[in-house]
Amino acid sequence: MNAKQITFPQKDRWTYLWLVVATVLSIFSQASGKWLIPILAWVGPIFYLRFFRTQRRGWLAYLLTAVSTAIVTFINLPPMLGTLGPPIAIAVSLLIPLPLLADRWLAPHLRGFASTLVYPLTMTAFIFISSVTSPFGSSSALPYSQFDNLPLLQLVSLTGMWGLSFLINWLGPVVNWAWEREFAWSEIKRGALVFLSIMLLVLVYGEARLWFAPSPAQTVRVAGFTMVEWRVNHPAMMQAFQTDPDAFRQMMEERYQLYFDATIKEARAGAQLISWPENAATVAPQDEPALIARLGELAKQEGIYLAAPIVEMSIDSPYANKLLIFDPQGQVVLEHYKYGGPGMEGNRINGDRILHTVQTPYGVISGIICWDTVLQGVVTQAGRNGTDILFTPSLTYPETDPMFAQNSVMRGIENGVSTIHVSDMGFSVIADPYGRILASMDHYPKGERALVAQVPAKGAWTLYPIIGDLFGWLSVVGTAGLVIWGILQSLRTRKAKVAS
Amino acid sequence: MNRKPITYPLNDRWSILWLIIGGVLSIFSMSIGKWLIPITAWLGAIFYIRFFRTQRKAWLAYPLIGITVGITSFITMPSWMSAMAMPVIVGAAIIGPLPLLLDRWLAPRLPGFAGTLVFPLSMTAMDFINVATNPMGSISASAYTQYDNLVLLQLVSLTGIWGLSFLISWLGSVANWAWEHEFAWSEIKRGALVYIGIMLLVLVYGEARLWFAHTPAQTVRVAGFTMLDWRVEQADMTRAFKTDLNAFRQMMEERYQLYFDATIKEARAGAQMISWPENAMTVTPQDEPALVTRLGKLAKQEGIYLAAPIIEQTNGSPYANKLLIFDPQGEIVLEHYKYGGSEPSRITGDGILHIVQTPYGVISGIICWDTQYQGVVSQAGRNGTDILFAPSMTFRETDPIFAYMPVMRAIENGVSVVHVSDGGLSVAVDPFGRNLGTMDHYPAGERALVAQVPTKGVWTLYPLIGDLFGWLAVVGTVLLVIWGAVQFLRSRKVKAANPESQPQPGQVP
Repeated sequence: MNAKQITFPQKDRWTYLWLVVATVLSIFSQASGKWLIPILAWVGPIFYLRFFRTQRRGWLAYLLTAVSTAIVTFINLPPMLGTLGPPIAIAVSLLIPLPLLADRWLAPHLRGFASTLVYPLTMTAFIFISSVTSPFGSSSALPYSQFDNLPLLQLVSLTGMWGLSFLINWLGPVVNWAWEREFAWSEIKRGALVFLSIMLLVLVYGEARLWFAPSPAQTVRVAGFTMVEWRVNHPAMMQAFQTDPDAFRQMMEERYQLYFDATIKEARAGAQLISWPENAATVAPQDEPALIARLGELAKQEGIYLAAPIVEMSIDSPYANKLLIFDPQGQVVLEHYKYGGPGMEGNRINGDRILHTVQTPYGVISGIICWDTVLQGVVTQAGRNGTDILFTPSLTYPETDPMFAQNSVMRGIENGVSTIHVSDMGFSVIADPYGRILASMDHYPKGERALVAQVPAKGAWTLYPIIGDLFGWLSVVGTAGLVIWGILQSLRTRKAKVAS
Repeated sequence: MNRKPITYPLNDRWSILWLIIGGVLSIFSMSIGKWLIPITAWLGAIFYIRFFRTQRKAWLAYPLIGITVGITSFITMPSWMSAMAMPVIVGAAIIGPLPLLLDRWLAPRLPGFAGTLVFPLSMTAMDFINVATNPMGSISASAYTQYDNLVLLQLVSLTGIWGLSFLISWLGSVANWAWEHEFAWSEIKRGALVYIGIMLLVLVYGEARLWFAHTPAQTVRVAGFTMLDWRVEQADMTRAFKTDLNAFRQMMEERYQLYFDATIKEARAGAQMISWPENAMTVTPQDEPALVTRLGKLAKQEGIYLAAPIIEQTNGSPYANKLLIFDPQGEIVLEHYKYGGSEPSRITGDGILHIVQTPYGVISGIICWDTQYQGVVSQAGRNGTDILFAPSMTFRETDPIFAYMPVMRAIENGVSVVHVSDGGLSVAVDPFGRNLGTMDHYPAGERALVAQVPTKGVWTLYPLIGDLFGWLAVVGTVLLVIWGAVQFLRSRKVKAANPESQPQPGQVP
């Protein structure tokens, strides 16, 4: 590898231009942003890094990048975050430039092409740690931004989202590394070929995996639908629940009827598995046993597996948000309590994070609920416990349409399971174990809101559920190792300075 | 632009290796090939061009490439091509290397980066002429190889498939140009930035077009299904038709019943439009009026639009392969005769796409092979069509690739496409090519395709300019050839007049 010593700051009178370019690009590269142009997620870091490496003072670069990040975050902040928005934006603004700081500090200490690893390692470590520590899980994590590139996404079947995080962030330092060597081929040849070959390998892997995937032996007709907008009458519903149980019962009964009718209709058209969206059956605790009996009867009468998300309301005690799956005999064969976002959805019972399975003639089925989907580490159980079809009923917002559907598709690829994502107020999708869309339905256009697909009865083997977040941890260990090494280096040079 | 003169042949002792690499890559980059790895379609040309430019004798390079193309085409040629395979392989082996020859002859005569245009222009021209003259339509067009990249495919809404042909083959000559300049940044900077800039622009266009596409105001539930394998009992069927009409009638009646029952089931689940696959109704001429009446009654009874492909079997006279669309009053509102392909003794349609105004948008229909004629289908982009039915019947070996051709027509013309395919992958896509529903014919289980389809298409440029970009490539290639010939004659004249100052081959005088 090339060992030409590059020291920062680099001279560049355009340095502030790079900051502006990076800011503009990064407005369009947020996974949960208003406007998403996925390729810009690769291009933006090139200019942030260039800016950082050409600024005389590291601390000033840090501040300016933080301001830029704050602007990007405020523009893209989904309104659903409400009062959480500003603290999140400030935290993000302070944290995001840290990998840039690490890069500026450590990259020049590393020889040649190895220096390009600092930024992607620290970025990946950062994205990984925030996904396991944040109550929002991996929601809005960078890899989701690549939703439109299915061959690329196949990488997550091996490495989880961390391989993709690494690659997206690696391009920036590689280009800067070449830039600082004035793109002199003799110097950058090996590094450039290493990066290009790895990218090519990843794309060929993805394209070959999709092409050579065996045709499923059997499929099952699955249906879903969204009949109401749960949030629209939310205040009236809450008020009725607290003051007039009969009115509440009446209100809910009207909704049940819509879901019952649609279920009967789809079952008679041939659906064997039917999923409702999250919150579809909202009920008072005293009415719940009767509702469950009716749901069982419905499943039995139509001879279907019914995935019915239930919200058991309560006034003082914690309420329950759970998914019940009924078999064609009308029995509850799976009960799952939502575990995602503990404490973020009021006084809710938190599930035990165990994914249960049910053996059916159409493969092994399992289910989670909405927010559960963004805790990718928990969902890997589906890749280990034999699940073939995973239900992820959800309730979202207009602002998160269509991106939240992507969380479910990503879990499908990671774990090699088909996913049935029926989303009230969002984008519903059914995808096969490779993330290929079998059916999609948006909640907002006028017209019926039915989602019907023939879903493979068998999942596909993937590596990720077995190794788990190994690649995430590797990036953390790598980052920690780099930082320790950097500290030792600087202590040593200090010592040398003192000695001489 | 840089003007460092490059002359061919270049010295490169690895020349034959590049031929082998180019050959291996091309096995995986045939649009209808057995194995398709789309990115190899971009890479193969790099090595073929390198080989051609580093061979001492062009007349030797040409047959070597021809043989390689022949071998790789033979390896990857799908078995359903049967009797057509050999002519296609031989044709590809002879014609395939022509752009390489042109590139070697003309590229060095053009200044700098402009030389990189010879190969993609002539490749695109060849692709276009092949598609325009091929009785099979566009099935071999290189653009289809990129089926998995919806972002890139958005380009066809502007240029048709020709823009994509051009970009794919341009990478080959750009990479060689940089290679020959030893990737010296000072020399290749402008050219490299031009190519990267254009690619980036195309990708950003595609991604922005998809992201900023309006949410449809309204959708309609559309259903389709394949109830049997038409081909499986084809021999029995044809025999019965010729020898025992009652047995034939009985056999067909059983099939009709399957389609009638499924139609009633899907209509009662809420489908407003239902499509059957190609050939679903096979009937004798004398029974046809009765069948048509029954279809009308079915549509009326269920209150649906029914797209029913009909084969009117005949003995001797040409048979008909047509699509009838019935409205909820039971009337025939559209009649379309298949125009595509070269199936013997078939009535050939007039290639005019008819439309029907419905409460769910304007609908139109074509049949299977018709889909491959992008020029004809571009009527759908001009006549106001919102939803295009393309019922088909294909083969196991063409599953899934034949489903991506109707997707391309959807993007080109900004129409939703409902492609219900016996023996293949059925898809319903929106006017941007996004999957609304997909269903493969082969797994066990039900074979239903159900989707909420937007009732409004979107505006696209391609139907207005038609195959302009294809023609531009032809004109460009012709001009290059003329210019090359003139140059060549002039240098000969100079040589004749002044034999001492003989210009080196390829040197710009």
